[in-house]
Amino acid sequence: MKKTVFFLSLALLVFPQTVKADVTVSGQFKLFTSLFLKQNDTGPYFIHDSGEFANKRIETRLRFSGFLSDQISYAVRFDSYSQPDALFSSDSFPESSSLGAPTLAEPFDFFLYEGNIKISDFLFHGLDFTLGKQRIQWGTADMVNVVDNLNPVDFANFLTFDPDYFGERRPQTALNFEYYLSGFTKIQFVWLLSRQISPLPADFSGLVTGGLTSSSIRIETENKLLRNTNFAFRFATVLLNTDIGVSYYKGNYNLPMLYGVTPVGPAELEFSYTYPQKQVLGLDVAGEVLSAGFWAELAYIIPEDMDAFAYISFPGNEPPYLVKETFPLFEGPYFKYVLGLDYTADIGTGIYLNAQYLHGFFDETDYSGTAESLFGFKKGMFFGEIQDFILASAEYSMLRENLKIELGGIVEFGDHESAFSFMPSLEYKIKDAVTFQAGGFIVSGSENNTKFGPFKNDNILFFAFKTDF
Amino acid sequence: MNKKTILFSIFFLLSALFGWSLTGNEILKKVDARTVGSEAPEDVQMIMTMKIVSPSGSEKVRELKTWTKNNENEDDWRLMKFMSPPDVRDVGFLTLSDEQMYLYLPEFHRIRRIASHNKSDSFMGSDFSYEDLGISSFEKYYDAELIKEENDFWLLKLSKKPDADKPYELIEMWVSKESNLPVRMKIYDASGALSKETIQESRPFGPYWVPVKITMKNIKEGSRTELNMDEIKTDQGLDSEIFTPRFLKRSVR
Repeated sequence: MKKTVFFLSLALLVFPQTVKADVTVSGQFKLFTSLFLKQNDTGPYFIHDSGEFANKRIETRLRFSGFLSDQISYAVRFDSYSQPDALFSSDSFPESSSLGAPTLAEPFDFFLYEGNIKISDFLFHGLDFTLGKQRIQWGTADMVNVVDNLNPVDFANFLTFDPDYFGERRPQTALNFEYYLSGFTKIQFVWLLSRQISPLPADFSGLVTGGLTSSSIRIETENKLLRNTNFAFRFATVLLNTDIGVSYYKGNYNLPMLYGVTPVGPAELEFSYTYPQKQVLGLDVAGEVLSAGFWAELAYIIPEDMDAFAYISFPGNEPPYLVKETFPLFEGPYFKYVLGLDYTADIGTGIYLNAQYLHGFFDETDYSGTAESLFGFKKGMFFGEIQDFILASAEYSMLRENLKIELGGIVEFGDHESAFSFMPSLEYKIKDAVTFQAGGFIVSGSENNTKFGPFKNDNILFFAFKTDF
Repeated sequence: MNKKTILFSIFFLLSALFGWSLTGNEILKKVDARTVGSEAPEDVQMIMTMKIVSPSGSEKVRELKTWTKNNENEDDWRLMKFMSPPDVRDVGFLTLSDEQMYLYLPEFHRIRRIASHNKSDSFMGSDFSYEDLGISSFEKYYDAELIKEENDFWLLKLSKKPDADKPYELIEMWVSKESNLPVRMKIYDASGALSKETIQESRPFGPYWVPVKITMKNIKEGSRTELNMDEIKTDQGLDSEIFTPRFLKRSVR
């Protein structure tokens, strides 16, 4: 409530000033509803009847933007969520609220999505400076940017299966300097004024505990010190008609990682999590090959040397004799990459095809062998080992692009197991800026050792109604 | 006036005096001179209203701001930014050449490169494709044959050159003798079927002729899109920096 009052006061304070200058008010009203298509009594993630609501919520966005002068523009956006029927409860994972989740456990949330000022030709010609909470474009892939570690993925909303949140990333508070050496060559420096943390869904402790049963969770966060801020560089240019970007990021992992398991009582374990440091060298390209569009991103990730620990019990003793074993959490540097193509096939009014091969989902990491065996990390689990995916979609528009049919899918390749997630969607533009969408998330294949396979016991049908203004 | 223009002018004057008839390719050169060549404005800025009319008669209106820069011996550059309706506000489209086009999607904060095979896709639900809204020379990609000459216009048949990467095989073009600009075009696809038809109105604007209204009819679907140009400004010395991703991302004032 305090937060709401603060933001409203801020808006009232800012608004009269901006009216004098130049203001564009825009926004969106959205109703999103989803249903489980199957009965599921065993989980692992959801327990429900067939036809039970998975999600019912209203989202609103209100954005003020404009120019204070020829060189200075601003943007302020407030988002609100209403979730009368919360899917998750915070009972089993109260820490989620401390991770800054959009508090799915609460019936209502209101927050500042972005708030920034951009000064063009700041200090000297060609230098743009953006200050404040902002979404920074980093990389060229379609939604699955492996080089982007600046904007953490909105993991809390990812599991609502709302397509608007697939791979959606959150704006961060940063100082963003973009210096254009020429029209297509720029050097970018971003100083992020805090650690980047992905919001997590409530009641999803099972996702972060590596398949083990936890009794309590401790999440270690760092002090808000200057030295605990992150930064990144990027150089971008066009070479041989291909857009090329080379980047460097020094900061933290966006998702908490299990690094210790401590027995705290009879049959009770405490799981310790932290956000380790890493450096990422990135390369991204986009261009054209044989008249099809292509893009690729390669991230070389250098994690910090970090010790993890677990207690090994020696049977035969009563109580069991426990020895603390320390081992490296990571083996060393590793790669993530994505390769993508798009093409419009000359069928009817044209079918837009888009396919990407992804090595390493946003939550996956290359752990050491000991961490794998003691913590149960493996391929095909959330927060598990890196595996490969194919993401593809075919899009066909009709009725003057008022009706769009999309058949999307994700194929994942685990260890001798695979799963296929089918994501059909139909979008109808009732009028300009008024859209109705219906779709589903239907899973088939193995539910063992696959990331999306377990959702085959859920299968989701969703409806969304959106109005922009 | 450069040397080329002077030579052309002398040639056309002599043609008129001695009744020499122009060939199709010579007329097409005149069209190119007016659209992308020496007789075109150095740069143009305008507000464009795009009205999309469906076969049933329902209408959708979009407002855009556009900037165009004429580059001698190179493809022209064009930047288009949507101002309304709200769901497409700030969407931007930048054309630097047939091989270099960018679309900015503010919702995703993303600049997407348009591959050449996607250029024939509809531009934001209109009857224009990305390709139609680019600006390039006709002469570079088409051979022209003079079919008919009337008092007010020439009728040309444009056939795609063998190695040209263009979606339209054949174009029938009516060229105004007054403006040297197309007034009507019938566009045929690879199968030889009539695909689109454009009607263009142009007006003198200082030393230039500038299109003020273009209607694109989609013959197959029965729809049409009208572009009306207002607040036209020419030769403002637009900075090359406007035609870059940096400006593509910016909101329009």
